[in-house]
Amino acid sequence: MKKFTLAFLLLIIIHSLGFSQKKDSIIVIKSNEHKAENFFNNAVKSYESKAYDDAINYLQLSIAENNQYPDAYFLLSMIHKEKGNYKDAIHTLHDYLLVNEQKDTAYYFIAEIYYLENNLDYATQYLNLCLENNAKFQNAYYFQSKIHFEKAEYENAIYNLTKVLEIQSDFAPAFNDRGSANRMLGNYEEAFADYTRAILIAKQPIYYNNRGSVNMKLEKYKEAIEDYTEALKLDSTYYLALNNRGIAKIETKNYIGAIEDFILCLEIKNNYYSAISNRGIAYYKAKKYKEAINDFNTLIAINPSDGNNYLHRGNTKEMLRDKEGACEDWKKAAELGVESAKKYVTNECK
Amino acid sequence: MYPFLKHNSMKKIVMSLFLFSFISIAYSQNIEFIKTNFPDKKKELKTAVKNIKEGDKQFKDQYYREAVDAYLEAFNFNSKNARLNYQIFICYLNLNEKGNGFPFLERAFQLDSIINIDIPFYMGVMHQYYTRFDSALYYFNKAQTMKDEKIKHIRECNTGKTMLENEVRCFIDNIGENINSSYDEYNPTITADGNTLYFTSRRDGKNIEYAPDGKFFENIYVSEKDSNKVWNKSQIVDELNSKTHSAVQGISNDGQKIIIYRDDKSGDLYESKMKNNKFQRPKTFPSINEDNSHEISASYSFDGKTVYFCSDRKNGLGQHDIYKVTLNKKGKYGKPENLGSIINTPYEEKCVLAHPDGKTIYFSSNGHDGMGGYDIYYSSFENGKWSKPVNLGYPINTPGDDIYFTITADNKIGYYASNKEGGYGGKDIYVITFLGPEKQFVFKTEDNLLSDVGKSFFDTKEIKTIELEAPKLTLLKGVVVDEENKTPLFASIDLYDLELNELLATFETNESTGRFLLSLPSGKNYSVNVKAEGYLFHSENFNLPDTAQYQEIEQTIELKKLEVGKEIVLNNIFFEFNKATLLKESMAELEVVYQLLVDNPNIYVEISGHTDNVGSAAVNNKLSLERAKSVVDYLIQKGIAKERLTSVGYGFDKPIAPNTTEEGRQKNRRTEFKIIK
Repeated sequence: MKKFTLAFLLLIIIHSLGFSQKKDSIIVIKSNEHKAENFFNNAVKSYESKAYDDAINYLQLSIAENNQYPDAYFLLSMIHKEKGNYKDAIHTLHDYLLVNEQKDTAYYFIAEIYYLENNLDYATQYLNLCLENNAKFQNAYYFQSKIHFEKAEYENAIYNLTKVLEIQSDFAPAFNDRGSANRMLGNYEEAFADYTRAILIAKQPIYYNNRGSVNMKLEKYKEAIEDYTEALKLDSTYYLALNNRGIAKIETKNYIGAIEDFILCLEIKNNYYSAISNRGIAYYKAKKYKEAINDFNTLIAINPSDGNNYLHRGNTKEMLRDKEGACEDWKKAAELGVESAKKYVTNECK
Repeated sequence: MYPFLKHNSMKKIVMSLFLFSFISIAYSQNIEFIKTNFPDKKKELKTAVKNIKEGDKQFKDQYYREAVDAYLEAFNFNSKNARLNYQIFICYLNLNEKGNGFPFLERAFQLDSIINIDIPFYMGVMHQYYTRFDSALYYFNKAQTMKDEKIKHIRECNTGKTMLENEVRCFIDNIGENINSSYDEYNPTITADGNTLYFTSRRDGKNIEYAPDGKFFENIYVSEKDSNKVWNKSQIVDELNSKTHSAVQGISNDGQKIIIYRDDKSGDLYESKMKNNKFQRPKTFPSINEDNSHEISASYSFDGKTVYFCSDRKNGLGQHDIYKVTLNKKGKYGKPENLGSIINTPYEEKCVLAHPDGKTIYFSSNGHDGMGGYDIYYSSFENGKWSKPVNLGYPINTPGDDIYFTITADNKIGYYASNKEGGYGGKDIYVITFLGPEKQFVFKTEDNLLSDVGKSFFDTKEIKTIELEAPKLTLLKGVVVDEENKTPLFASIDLYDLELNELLATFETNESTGRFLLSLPSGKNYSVNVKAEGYLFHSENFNLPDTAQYQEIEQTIELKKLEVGKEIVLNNIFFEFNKATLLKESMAELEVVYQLLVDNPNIYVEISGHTDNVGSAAVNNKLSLERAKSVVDYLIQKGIAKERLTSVGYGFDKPIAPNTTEEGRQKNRRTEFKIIK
């Protein structure tokens, strides 16, 4: 989100500079407006060199000379935002709204600041205002979709992403995100189609990985493995795809292949919790019970409050004919809230 | 390396075949038994040729043991003759010792792969036997002969691949040296409580002679579990054995009746009952045995009224089929009934076991969808028909012959026989401990769902496996004793279906120990009436709905002498709620009371009604008296003199349990029977 905001900010600054140049073309320039512009230009220079306090001073001087100067308000709000002074930033953006006819941008940035403050409802309201002013504001739809996603309002996210795609039909990230929203709703076929569209536009590891995970949901394990493999061809260090491919291999009963993937994953990301856990399961499936126990012991040492590790170790001890040890672990897992472990304790640990 | 092959498994097979053919070239020198090949060993050659001729003769007469012995003599002289190796393999195949034969088949194939057109087929058979299904399929697809069998084997290989991928979770352990020996042990047969094991062995022993097949005759042995649940050293059961084959086939749930096989005539079944802790002389089963047919394997139903057995009699659906025969109301067996085409196939069905749950049978078959040889299946009789047999799965079933299966009433422990490697020798008995379905594992997945925001989430998945459904039955076991001196009693136990007012079965306690064991499948309201001469009867009620899960109940039933002052609770007398109207479920017990009064015309009795403490004393006294009167009226109406019967209503004055719980109140709501004169 930060990256996205910065890029957008640069566009606005360029836009602002262009706007200033336009003003240069006015033949008669009042002296205070000229001064204001000079202060503004100094503020931009200070901003670019990250001398924010100096920039603020120049902008305040600029506004003092010309309180109808939109660019000054806008840049001032951005600097407040950069410094984390969100209230000042919002206040300044409201001043900007008073002097600027192009209100959609202001609403958008107010929304962004509320988002940073984790006030998603206000952020949504300002995005709505933004879109009322400019129904073609693609970034607003896209931003709105992310907020809906975070609020688990996946249907709304899909609506907004569809709007994005109506404006720009080859925007691969929107296809990916709509695929993810569909996936969260359990619309796996639709998700698969969206991820595929994203891949057709841009072959990105994340898109392949996500389609692989939807194939997993559809129990198409071989296709999932192919997708994860494509992701890894594009980025051999993409450890998430390695972890996921390992799971897909377990599902196809290729336990040795799964173990290899988890080992490789752990070489890329040391102590990756998920991969250690999944490798333990793969070892169990491959009947390498001692290796499985080692992995579950490691996980218990890292996070003793994760009941699944006790569940898994108990399951493994059962296969090592250590029923007493298995029951101890299942009891611990049950205490930590693992439902299946409660059942095992009741039925098998009398 | 082999771009024309798509699948890795196929590539592996072809690679191994290339390697194989290379080795074959190195060794493929088929050496015939001719003088030019052995110029310096003419005498030995002559002997070897003689051995081959002897082997051929025995082979032709189907004496495969003798044939293989002769062939092996010749093999010791020249091991590089393709035909001889092939013949030895075929002998072992017919002796059901495939494993011993495989090296000879392989050698025959290496020496001259076309010495016999059936070789590819048998190569397939052997690779299937060793669960190398891809290789087996390769050979079966190459085989030009035995087309019908080939199709069956191909289907089995494909089934086998699936079964291997869906292994049943269990431990399989050799039952140990107290049961197994260096000889064959098989036919494990257990009582419903799983504490007594009968089995068949072909071991050496006093007065045991050799059978025509070169092994000792079959004899029956028994072992019991000690207090630590360890099987004791087995003992021969002399009274069941004969000079020839005697093999145990089935046993009643309580271990008081046994069915054995003897090879007299065409192979028949015999039954023996226990008396004074010893089995009586086995008697033939005339209603089952048929001239000119082979009867083998049998099992009693839970109530002992039906016997399931296998026979190759005429008009069956294949070779051996499974039949059942049921006792009629006169106590005689009716006509055997074929279980039909859901169970029986054109091939073999053997080793039937009726589970104590009253609806499930286990059996071995080589005709259903298995992975080769005999596999073990189960089927349940529900809604008037048998369900499609379910394969018990790998590793219980293998491509070899998996037979002689038995399972405890709780479905947790199974026993079967196998000649797998690592045993004590020959076939051994193994214990299967079923571990139930796969335990849950939680995979941890992580994805970046959004293009520029990472978001992780986790998922869970349970693996599907075949699970033996938990049986729905109550195992009632215990001992019947004299109330005063606690000595064991020989008693009869009548089991009634109260809903139908029908006597389901009559059992007897062990004469020496007074012990009994009953299996009560869920779904009925049972009355259990225990009777012994000179004693008042004792009744129990077990109302078991369809959903009642497996349970074991152990009871000591103390019978009271038939004397003045003795009283019993009539546990199966039921009334309408808050009324004195007898329910139809009471009829069986009332009939028992009536019969007792008929059999003992000099006794006078008091029938008393009792209630719990809910409501006023006046209401309860009235209700209890009216209920006692209802019983008395019934008996008078049946013909008992009214002066012999007294009715009393005690209300809640004589509780036998605290009225503070529903269970206690239920016990207090009762009818009693007391001898007063």
